[in-house]
Amino acid sequence: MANQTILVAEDQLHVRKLITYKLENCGYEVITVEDGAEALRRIREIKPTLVLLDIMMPLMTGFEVLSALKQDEATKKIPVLLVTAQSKEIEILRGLEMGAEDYITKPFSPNELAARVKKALLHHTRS
Amino acid sequence: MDIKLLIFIALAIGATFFAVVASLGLVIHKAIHAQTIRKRQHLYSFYSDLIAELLLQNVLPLSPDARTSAIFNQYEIIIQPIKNRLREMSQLKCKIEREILRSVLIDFAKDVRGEISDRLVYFFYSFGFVDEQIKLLSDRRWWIRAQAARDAGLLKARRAITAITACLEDVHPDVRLQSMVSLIRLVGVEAFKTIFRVSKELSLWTAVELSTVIKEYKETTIPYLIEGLQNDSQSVVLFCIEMLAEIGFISAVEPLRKIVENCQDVTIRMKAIEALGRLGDGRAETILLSNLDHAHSEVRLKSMEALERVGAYSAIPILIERMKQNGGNEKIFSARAIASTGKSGVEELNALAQNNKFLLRAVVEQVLEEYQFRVEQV
Repeated sequence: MANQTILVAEDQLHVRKLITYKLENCGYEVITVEDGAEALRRIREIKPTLVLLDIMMPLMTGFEVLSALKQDEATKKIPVLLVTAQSKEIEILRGLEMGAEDYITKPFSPNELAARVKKALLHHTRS
Repeated sequence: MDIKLLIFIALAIGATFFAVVASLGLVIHKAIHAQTIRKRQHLYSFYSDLIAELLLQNVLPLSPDARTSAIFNQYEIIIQPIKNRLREMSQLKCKIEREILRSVLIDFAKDVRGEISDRLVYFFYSFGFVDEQIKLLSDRRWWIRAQAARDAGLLKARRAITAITACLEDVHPDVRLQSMVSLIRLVGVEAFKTIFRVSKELSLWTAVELSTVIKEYKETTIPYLIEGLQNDSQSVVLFCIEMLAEIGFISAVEPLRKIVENCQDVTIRMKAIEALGRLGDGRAETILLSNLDHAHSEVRLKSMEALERVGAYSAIPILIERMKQNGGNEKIFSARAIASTGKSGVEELNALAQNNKFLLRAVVEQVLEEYQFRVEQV
C-alpha cells in the first residue's frame, strides 16, 4: 500500500484534513488540492492511484475535472470517487455516467470512506 | 509676505498633513484587519487539524458491563489538551480561540456522521457551547438568534429543544425557519406536531424551505399535516393542504373533504378543493358536486377543475346543466370535466355540439379539440 497515492480535491479545509488523516492512517500517501484546476494539473503531473473529487469546487467543478480526465488517454484509467451532497441524486447519476468509479455522500463517515477507497482500488487492480 | 499667501500655505500644509495621516490610518487599519484574518485562518487551520485528529483517535474498547458514561470519560480525556491550552490563555485570547473552535466543530458537524458525529456532540457539550447557544437564542439581534438556532440543530444539542421551541414564535421569519429545521433535526418527524401547533404565520420562503424537508419525510408527516389543518392561521392551513396534495396520500381525502364542507374561508376552501382534485379520489365527488352551487364563482370553477381531474362520470348531467345555464368560463370548465370522463363524456359533448346556441357550440368545439389533441399526445 505504501506506493499508493491518493489525490484529494476538496475546497473545504476541515473536510480535507479529516480525509487526509483517515487515509494516511490507512497507509496511503495523500496529496491534497483546493480547487478543480489545481486538481487537474496535479493529476496529470503525478498520476495518482486514485482521485477523490469534490463536485462543488472553485475554478473547475468536479464534473469538469472528471470529464477532462476521462478524455485524456494518460489519465482515463485512474479511478475517481466523487464526493457529493446526499440530496443530489442527479449529480450522483451524472458522475457515474461520466465514468466515476463510485461516490461518497456528505455527511460521510470516515470509516465508510476508507472502505470505499479500498474497494475501488481493489476493483481497479483486478481489472 | 502677504498675509493671504501665508494663510494659503498654512491651509495647504494642514490639508496635506491631514491627507497623509488619513492615508496612513487607512493603511494601518487595513494591515491590522488583514493580520486578524490571517490569524483567524491560521487558528481555523490549527483547530481543524487538531479536531480531525481527535475525531479519528482510537478509543479503548469498552467491556460489556461498562456504563454508557465510560465512553464519555474517554472523550473527555481526548479533549483535555485543548481545555488545558484554553485555560492557560488570557481571557481575550481564550474568547477568540473558543469562537474559532466552535465554528470548526460546527463545520465538522455538517459533514460527518456515525460515531465521530457523537464525539462532536460530546465536545460541544463539554466545551460549554450548548449553554452559550441557548443564551444566543435570546439575543436581541435576529441574525444571531437564527444562527444559534441552526447551529444548535447541527450539533444535536437536545438541551436546547425548549429554547428552540420557544423560537418558533420569534418575531423574525428566519429565526422561526431555522428553529423549525433544527427541531426536526433534533426530534425527527414528531417535531411537525409542535411546528404546526405553535406556528402562527408561515412566510413564503419558510413554506418553500419547509416543503423540502417534508418531502424528505413524505407520508410519515401526514398525521401532523392533517392536525395542522386545525390551525388558526390561514397560511399554516394552506401550507398543510398544499403538502397533503403534493404527497398525495389517500388518507388525506377525508380531512380535506371536511374542510371543504365546513370551512367558511373561501381561500382555504378553494385550496382544499384543488387538493382533492389533485388527489383524484372518487370519494371527493359528492362534495365537489355540492360546491358547484357555491355563491363564489371561483369556488365553482375550482370544483369543476377538480371534477375534471377526478373524472366523475355521475357528474355529467349536472355539468351539462351548468354548461347550459352559466357564464363563459363555467361553460368551458364544465365541458372539460365532462370530456375527462372519457368516451361517454365525449359523446355527450358531441350531442351538445348540435345545440343552436352559438356560445355553447363554440365552447364544445374548443374542448373537443383540446381533448382530441390530448388523445393524440398520449
